[in-house]
Order: sequence, then C-alpha cells, then structure tokens
Amino acid sequence: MKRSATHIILLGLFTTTLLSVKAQTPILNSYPAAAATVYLDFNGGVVDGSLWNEHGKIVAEPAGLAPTTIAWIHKKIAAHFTLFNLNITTDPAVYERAPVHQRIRIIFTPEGDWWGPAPGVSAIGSFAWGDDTPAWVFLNYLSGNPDYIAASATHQIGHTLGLQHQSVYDSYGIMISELSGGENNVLSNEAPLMGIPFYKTASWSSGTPSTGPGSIQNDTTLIAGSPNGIGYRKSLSAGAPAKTMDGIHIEKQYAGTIELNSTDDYAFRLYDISGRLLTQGTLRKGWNQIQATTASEGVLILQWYGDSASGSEKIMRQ
Amino acid sequence: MNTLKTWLCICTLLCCLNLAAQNKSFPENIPYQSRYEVSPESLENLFKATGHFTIPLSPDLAITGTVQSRTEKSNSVTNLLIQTENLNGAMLSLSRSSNTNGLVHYTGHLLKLHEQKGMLLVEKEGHYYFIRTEQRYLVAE
Repeated sequence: MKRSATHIILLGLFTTTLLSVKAQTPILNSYPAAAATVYLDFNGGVVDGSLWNEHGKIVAEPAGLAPTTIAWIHKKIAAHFTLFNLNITTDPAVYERAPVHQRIRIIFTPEGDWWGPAPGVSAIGSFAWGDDTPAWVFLNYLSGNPDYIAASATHQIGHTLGLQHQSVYDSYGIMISELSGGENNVLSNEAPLMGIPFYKTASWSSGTPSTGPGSIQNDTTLIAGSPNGIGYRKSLSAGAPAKTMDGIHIEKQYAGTIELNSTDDYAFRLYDISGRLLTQGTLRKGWNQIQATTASEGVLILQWYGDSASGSEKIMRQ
Repeated sequence: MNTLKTWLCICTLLCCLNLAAQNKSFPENIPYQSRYEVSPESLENLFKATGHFTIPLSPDLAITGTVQSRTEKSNSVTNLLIQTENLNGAMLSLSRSSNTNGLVHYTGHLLKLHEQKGMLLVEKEGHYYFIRTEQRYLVAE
C-alpha cells in the first residue's frame, strides 16, 4: 500500500514536471537592439476586439510545443530576418514595449476552426496598423512539423509586413498559380517564402505578385521600407577593402569572388540588392571563398547564422 | 477552327477589359473596383459614436452599426471596432494615431471574413478614400 502510494506520488511529480517543461516558453530575442518587433506567441490566450472576432471571442489554446522545438522554430524564422532591423522575440514584455505601429503578434495555436482549413491567416500590412491585430499559425494543419511551422509563420509575417503572394503568370498575363512553388526556375531547388515555402529552400524573392503581372514585388525592399520603417541592420560602408563582423572578417572582394575568414562554422546566404539569392552554403572555420559567377557587381548582402551568433552585412563587390 | 479562334479572341478581349478596369496606380498599388472619398471629419464622427448609429461617410457610403470596442493603445493611438448592419455585417476597424506634432492619421479596413470583397481606407495627398477591392489582397493565408 505504502509502495503504491509512493509510485502514485512519483508519477504525479513526473507528470507535473513534464507539463511544466512543456508549458515553459523560452525567452528568445534575435536582435534586441531593434525596436520593431515580431512576437512569436506560443502561450495562447483570448483574442477579442479585432477583425477576426466577427463571431465573438476566440480562445487560442497554447501551442503545446516543447521548449527545444520552440527555440528551433524561433531560430529558423529569425534566420529569414537577419537582414532587417527587426527583433523576433518570444517575450511578451518586449512586444508590449515595442512601438504600436511597428509590432505584430503571431499566435501559434493547434486549431483554427473559426477560420477554416489553412496553415495560417493574417491581414496584409497589419504590422503597421497600430491596433494589435494578430496573425495566426494553425499547427494541426501543419502536422506539427517544425519545418512547416517555421515556414508558415515566416509566410504570415511577410503578409503582415505588406507582402502579397508571389504568383506565376503565363506570357499573356493570365495567372497560372497564385502561389509560386519556384516554377520560374525549374532547375533550382528554391521557392519564394511568399509562395509555397514548404518543400524547397525558401527565401525572399523579387517577382510578380498576386495583385497582377504588371508589377514586381521585391520582398526585401518592401519589408524594409514604408510604412514598416524597419530598414536594414547595418549601413553600407562602400569601398572598404576589408571589414570585421562578429565572427567573420572579409579579406578580399573582387569580381566573382569574396574571401572571408570565419571564427566558427556558419550557414550563409548571399543576395544581390534586389533580394535575389545568388548562392548559399556553409562557412567553415578559417579561410573561405564564396563564388557567385552569375552575380552582378555592386551591392551584395551576406547573411550568416550559427549556433552562437548571426548577422548580415551589405558589402560592395568591386 | 474559326469558331475556336473567335472564342479565343473574345476571351482575350474580356481579360484585357477586366485588367483595364482595375486602376492600379491610385491610390494604392492594388487593383480596386471603386472608391469613396471620405472626410477626416466623418471619420472622427465614427470615433465619437456610441451604441447604435448611422453616420454618412460620403454621398454613396454610410455606416449603420454598433460600436463593439474602443481602445487606447497609448496616448496617441485609438482603435475602434464597429459591427456594421448595412454592409453585409462586415467589421469596420479604424485606427487613429497622432504624431508629436499633433497631426492625425487614420487607417482602417472593412471586412467580412470569407467574403470576396473588402474595403481598405487609404490616404493620398491628404485625402482619405475607402477602396473596394478583392479581399484576398487584404487578408491572406
């Protein structure tokens, strides 16, 4: 009897520990220096007084994800915003302190029955509205897959920052697909984040938006510009032959090649100024050479991220 | 074969007419079907409204509805949510903010979830317009 009671107590303690671990959201910030904030809300809550509340209050259940999964999702999302003067946080206090016209709350919750079958939904441009209209990511529709969750969240954040879908049109301007899956370049394994970002390497892109084939949507320019007013993290220092970033030292820049010295292993992406991904890969500790033979000369943007640090830098390729 | 060509020509012509009918340059870079100019005074009247009300915003657009909530995010930002009755029950969300110089700016949108059309309040050169557009340009998955 005494033994059974001990087992019950131990089981209870174990369950309580598991639940408390699951309930804890790690406090993470990708770029605390920035005032503009995207708050990843895994805690759930009641939403009222927004355009989503046609049928009354919405009770959002907590995401129910493990802290390690949340940290991983945060890291994946933050990697897409290293270019911008924008903080991706899981801290509600940081969100509350952010300027009302430069913040958005992304709610991660299992169900979105009030909306319908979709991986998420958001109001385009709501980051700058100032009324705290949240955006949504519905986990059950994403099979609980952290890769898909991060991709869907990044896509929704893009909408809140004013981005429309990247679409595909035929030569007559007739829409073939509202969501581009990277069909414009069948040889690449890349897709636009504002298209279908789940099955290929996804990045910001410059292409024809869902509003019509007559204009080009440059994702990175729109995110950084008005009305979001985010801007880029660091200013251009053109002409400098060598410069030091946290963990990376640019040794040489010349046509077709950039040479870097890295203090650790980092993943990197190299973009041109229009947001087109030129190349990506891994920087190994020590000397590295990046070659992008198709790149235009001029201003390029190097993004890099590792376990301990990340950053981005505009560089001038001479 | 000639019939097929004729139909193809008609379809192409209709598509061109449809694209031409969508003004993309003003006031926002999204296609829209119609627009209503509204005065800042009429928008301000919405912020003063209580309970059930009818307020004309332009000769062709009036709002009949009920104030659902009015919140102040800070000293400079006030948000208003109105459940309309005459516009298919859509929710009108308005935000009024003022900068340090006292200049007031309004943003807003009128949406009924899952409907095809919606409206967006935009400002151009000191004038405010509600533009009627595809809702997929305002809310997206």
